[in-house]
Amino acid sequence: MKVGIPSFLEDKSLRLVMFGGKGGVGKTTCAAATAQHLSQCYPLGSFLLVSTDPAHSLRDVMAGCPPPSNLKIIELNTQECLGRFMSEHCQHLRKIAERGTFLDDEDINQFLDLSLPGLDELLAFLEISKWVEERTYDSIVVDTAPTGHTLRLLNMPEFIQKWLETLDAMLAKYRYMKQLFSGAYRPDGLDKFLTNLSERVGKMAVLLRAPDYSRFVPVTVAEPMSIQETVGLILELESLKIPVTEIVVNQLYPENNCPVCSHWRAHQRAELASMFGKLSGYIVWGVPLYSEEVCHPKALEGFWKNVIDLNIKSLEISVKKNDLSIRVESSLVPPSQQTSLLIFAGKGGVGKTTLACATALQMAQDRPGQEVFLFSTDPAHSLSSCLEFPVGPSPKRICAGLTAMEIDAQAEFDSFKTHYQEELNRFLQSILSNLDLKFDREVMERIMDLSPPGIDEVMALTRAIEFLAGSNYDILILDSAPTGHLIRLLELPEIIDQWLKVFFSLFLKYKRIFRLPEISKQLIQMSKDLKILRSILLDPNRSALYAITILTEMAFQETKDLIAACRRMKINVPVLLLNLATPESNCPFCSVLYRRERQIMDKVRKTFSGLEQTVIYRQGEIQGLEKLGKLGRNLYKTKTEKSQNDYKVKYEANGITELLNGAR
Amino acid sequence: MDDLFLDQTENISLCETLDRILNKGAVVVGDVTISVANVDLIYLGLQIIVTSIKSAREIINQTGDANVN
Repeated sequence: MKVGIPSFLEDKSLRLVMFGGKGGVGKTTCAAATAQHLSQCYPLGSFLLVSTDPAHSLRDVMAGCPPPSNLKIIELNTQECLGRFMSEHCQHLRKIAERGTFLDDEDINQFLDLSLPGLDELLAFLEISKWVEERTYDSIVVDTAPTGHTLRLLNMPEFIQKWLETLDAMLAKYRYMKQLFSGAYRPDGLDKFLTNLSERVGKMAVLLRAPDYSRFVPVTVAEPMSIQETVGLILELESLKIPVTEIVVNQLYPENNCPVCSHWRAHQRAELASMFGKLSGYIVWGVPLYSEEVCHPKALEGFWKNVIDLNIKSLEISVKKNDLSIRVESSLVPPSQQTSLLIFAGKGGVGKTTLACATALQMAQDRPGQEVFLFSTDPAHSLSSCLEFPVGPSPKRICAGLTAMEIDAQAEFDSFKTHYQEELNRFLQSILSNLDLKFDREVMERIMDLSPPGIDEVMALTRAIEFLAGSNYDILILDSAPTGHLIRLLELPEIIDQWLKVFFSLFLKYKRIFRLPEISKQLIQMSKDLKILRSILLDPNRSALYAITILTEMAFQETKDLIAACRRMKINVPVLLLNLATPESNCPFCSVLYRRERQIMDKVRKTFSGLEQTVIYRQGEIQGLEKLGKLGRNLYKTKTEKSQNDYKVKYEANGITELLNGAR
Repeated sequence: MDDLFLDQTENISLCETLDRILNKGAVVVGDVTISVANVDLIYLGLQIIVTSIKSAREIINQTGDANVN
């Protein structure tokens, strides 16, 4: 395996380097290491490292140390960007709405004051496109949010174009009448606003697809779920014609003769071989797993030092691959009988989906007669791969007592939009049978396209509440999107309430003229469901949030933010799960990891002493109902809890054997 | 939910709507065939602009005041 240098570390013409992938694979570390490397290699150049991940882990990876002088680090603050954008363009938007719609000033102001969910990707895109246009930086390194939302960022050009087309349609009537009455039409400030923005977006779309100026570097770890998601991401990027030439595989176990390490190495090799099978024509760079956590400028310098060029030939697969035993330090008290909503939350890649599925299976088996509903709003859809069972956007029976669903937020919102458009056409047909309201009809039809990108998550959440409100499920288990987006999802109920109030006041106000019964019925239902969700969410004995972390400094920081946010929103967080811990062993590499993790563990225990905690040791990839069921049984005390001693795990000097695992 | 239905203090009456439409202007396109004893006699291709004189004048002498920025 020859050591090489990835092109994004050398190619000076690159103006945009984006790192993306599943949560927790080390995107932030790769982005920070690249930005630091570039700024040191080209001291005269000016570089920018920006994060579009609302979970903001950039400050943790630099451990507060100052970056090189020619490197600027920005963590995009959505509210600030939104404030700047609105203060700059609010007048334009108001004028356009005045000209293009029949709303009066009071209605328009109501809309302009609404807080807009899910704008991270939109504003991040606009900010980056401004820097690119103004050439303030020679090159920009972007640490993107986990996969699902990265794709939304890359789809922004189309989203904004559609947005601008709707605003343009609003001006069409005015232009037509101006042309008619005064014989000529010269573009004014509003047209300039729209053309400037669409030019900027157009230029950015071109840059994104220019192979010699921008590059997307997918980062993954050699584990099935991460590879599956990365392959999906790469195929999507190909369809978007975003240039991808290199892939980074992070955290590769080193060459040594420790059984645990060799088990993992063989396991990683097999996974990589499957990845090579699906993708061809990419250079794959392997980065070793470092015993010391890479969260300090000194460590970042060494990050790219021993990168190796992986190719299919270099992966000799050793056949022997024994499965590590499932080992949980102390099993938890299962959720109480009245708990009806259980949320699994945590940073990307900490094992939320695995633990949510294991819990759901365990609850289904341990409480016959109760119906468990497991669902996920994570745009990356990891439930099906974890359960190894096809889960779709409608409820699917998995086994006795367990139903699962993966909500496709975008599809939900699209169907809502089509219903609106159908009903609007029926309405317009009824009042103007053979006449047509030119211009205004188009505005009314397109009005839904102006809704903010995050509104589909709103739809997904309210769709989930229907099952909660309905009586046929006893407990709802939510495998949530990674932290940054979960906090916003939990804040959504207030934002939805605001939106619903504005919509209702409009429907009431124009009730006599503008009748859309079905849509208003749907909104009323949504508002009712929302009240139910909020009442459950804020009731500690009916809902609980299980926080999950892995034993790294960055995960610890993010867990602190998550739990602080939950306390602020009065959401009950009774349990903290410390996942993927390295088992103790006499291999030098493992013991360094083990010691570092012990320190983190003590810190976690001290900081969150009020929470019930347990440690789940790193084990083979837990996929499929059989293994998940076993994990579930280990994780929770069953009602007929046998004494603890029927689990005996013994480590012998040269290997791990599972002496006796209480056969259930 | 019911609290929202209670404060329906202000809803638009028909004449206010007409006033709003006149003030903002509307363009109606239509094609009408007039028929007697279902024999089509006259075809009317309509393109109607409805607006108040005040707004029409405003539009005419709006040279470019909308240069807001």
